[in-house]
Amino acid sequence: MLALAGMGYTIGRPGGLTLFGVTGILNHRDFEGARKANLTTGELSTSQVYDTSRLPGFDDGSRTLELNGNLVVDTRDAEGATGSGVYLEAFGGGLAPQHDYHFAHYGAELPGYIDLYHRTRVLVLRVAHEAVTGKDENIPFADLPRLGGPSRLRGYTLDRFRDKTTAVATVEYHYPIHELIAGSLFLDAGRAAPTYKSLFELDQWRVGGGVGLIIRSKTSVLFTLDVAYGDGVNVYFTTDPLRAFAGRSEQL
Amino acid sequence: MTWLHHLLQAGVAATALMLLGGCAHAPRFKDQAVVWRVDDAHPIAEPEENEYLKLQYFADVFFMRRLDRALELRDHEPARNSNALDEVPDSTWFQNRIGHRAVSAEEIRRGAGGGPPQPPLTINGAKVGGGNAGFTVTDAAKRKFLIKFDRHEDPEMQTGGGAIVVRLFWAMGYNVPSDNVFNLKREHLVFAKDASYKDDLGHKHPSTGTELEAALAPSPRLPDGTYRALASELLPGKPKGGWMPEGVRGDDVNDRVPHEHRREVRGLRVFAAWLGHTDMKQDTTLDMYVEEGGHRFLRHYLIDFGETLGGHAGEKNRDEDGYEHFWDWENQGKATLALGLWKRPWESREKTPWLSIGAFGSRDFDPLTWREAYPYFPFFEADEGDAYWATKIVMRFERRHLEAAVAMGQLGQPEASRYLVDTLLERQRKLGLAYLETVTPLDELTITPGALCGVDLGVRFKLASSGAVVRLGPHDEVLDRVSVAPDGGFCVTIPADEAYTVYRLSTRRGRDERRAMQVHFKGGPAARILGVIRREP
Repeated sequence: MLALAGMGYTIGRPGGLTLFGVTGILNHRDFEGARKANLTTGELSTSQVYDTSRLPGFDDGSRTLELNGNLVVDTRDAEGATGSGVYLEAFGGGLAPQHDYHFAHYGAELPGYIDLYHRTRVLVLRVAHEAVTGKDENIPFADLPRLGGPSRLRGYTLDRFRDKTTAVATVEYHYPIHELIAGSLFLDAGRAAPTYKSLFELDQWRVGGGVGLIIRSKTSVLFTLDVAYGDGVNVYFTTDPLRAFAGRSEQL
Repeated sequence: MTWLHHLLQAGVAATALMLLGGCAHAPRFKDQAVVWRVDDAHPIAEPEENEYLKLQYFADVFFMRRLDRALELRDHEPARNSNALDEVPDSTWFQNRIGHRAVSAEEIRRGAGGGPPQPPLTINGAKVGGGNAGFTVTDAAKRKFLIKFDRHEDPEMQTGGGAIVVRLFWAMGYNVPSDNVFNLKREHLVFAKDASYKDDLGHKHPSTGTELEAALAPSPRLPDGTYRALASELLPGKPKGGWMPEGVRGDDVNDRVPHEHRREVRGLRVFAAWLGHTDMKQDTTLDMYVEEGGHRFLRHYLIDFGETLGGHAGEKNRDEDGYEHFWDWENQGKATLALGLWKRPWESREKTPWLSIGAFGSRDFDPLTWREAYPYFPFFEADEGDAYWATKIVMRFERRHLEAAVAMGQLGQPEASRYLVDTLLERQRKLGLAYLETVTPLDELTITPGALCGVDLGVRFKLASSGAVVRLGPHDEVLDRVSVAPDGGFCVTIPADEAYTVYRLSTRRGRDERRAMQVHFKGGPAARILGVIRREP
């Protein structure tokens, strides 16, 4: 991503926050490095698995300008030590006509926080979905929705899966350890698929789960440290937990 | 007799215990007067200031020194500075007050003496930012004070708590400053020409004259336009920093007992638990280089009680305050493994309706599990002897004493003051049940030809309705039994001869048999008590 810029408008108050906005994303992708990468972990690189000449925008890179409308509704009681409420983030838009690339792009994420006990034991349920529509040859490989990593399917390496539609569901439980630390247990399940029909083939979904620590104040999360098992053991450090589309709303 | 001899004599009880562990003979105390004063005020050269390095201190108490201590596999040691009666002699650290004599409510009202400053107040220095903004000022009578204010979030809490608790610590026997609540008008404050201020990081800057507003901004203003403040009169002498929790000062030859083995420092745990003094750390203590009687030496003080009685929990917004250290490896480790299934005691902590008191209560107070916010190593060393010593001092506070102290907090709501007194009495009772009623609490021993008398503190302080005292033989067989009078008094007969005699005495509460304590004495016409061993090896 080369740049992300946006403008928006806020209605309401903290705890019932609603934001509308428009985001422009200028992408300049170049996979030269990925193609030449000498992976030492035993994993195969993209260019070793695919005929990259058939992946749009892979060999020559891609340069696109995407415009999206955004909506954020935030009813969480606190941003750090969240005890209840929901955080809805949705966007929709597409690529400004340019070169050979054009597609529509949309997605939504909805984590809900359910107070189990005194706002200290909290159950988090989350669903997130992202999709692009258009002909395969008109969608750069780099712009396909991805799964894998600390915010989108833990237990799998970052951007392990790509396809035209993705969905991920999370069940997560938070409990108190220290005034600045909460523990978490989580289970993520997700799938990347070429069509909606295949997206909901539940036996194809990947599952990952693990434990984590959330370092936070009452008003903000500093970072999380998760250890997850999916196709192997993965350790994640992130400042944007449970935020599949982190970065969009902050720019509004 | 030199002061060192006094100290050695004061350690006889501990030595006797060690001897008993090594052979079958009963320990013996020297036939000499019990030491009630240690002369540790010998002249010394001016020591260096013991700088309080906050980050290093916290790194030590939470991590580095904590790890060291764990690896040391330390043996338990009893306090080293108790006298033959297992009491603390007077010294530059402690002066026996309510524990040894009647203290009037008026004395407690007075505390360390002095009074609030007389305006106008000239500001010499200021500290702005953080949670403890304040000024050093000189009043019209040329007395110097540190002035502190409350916060909007909990008006009266820190000023009130500070003025109340300082008087209770004074009555217990500690050296403390004179702290008083007073109301201050903005126009009573003027800056000295050479005034300076310290920022939140402790860096000093020349005053710009605007720090006053910055310091007053977070402070609540009373309806008449005045600010409520706590004035702490600066102590006489030169400040030399807080005393280290462990070890001794290398530049003070009077400082011979490692602080973690001083009973009045270890026993502080009980007082701190009673009064919610969770902010116990190096910078709430202060050594002052004083000149008294032509000698210059260090006198050791407790200072800064603004975060007692729930004040620290209020300022730091910590529900765990009093229940867990800030980093509490034991409890927070357990909580990590319990996955939220363990309801920790502080989670049901109730807050009072008064902002001046916050969450200070008695219902969930457990003296045994109470914890200071920052691990204080002398508290780790405290044993049942230290707790017994401190608790019997706490038990001597009567309602009138507490009412006198609480009145000096000048809380705006009378019901809050009543609640505070009631709560202190309830916490006092819990301390008594925890530390007196689990041992043989026979005390205030006196001896006359033919009789050894004393008081069962459990009955005296109404922790138990009745009791008996039994004299035990070497194999715990009962040799003698007397009932305890309703006021706690008891007497047992003693031999008429002057032989060195050891009585093993134990308290009975119905079928409950307490571990025996020993009283060593000589009878005869000049009968005298030589020593007490509260915990037999």
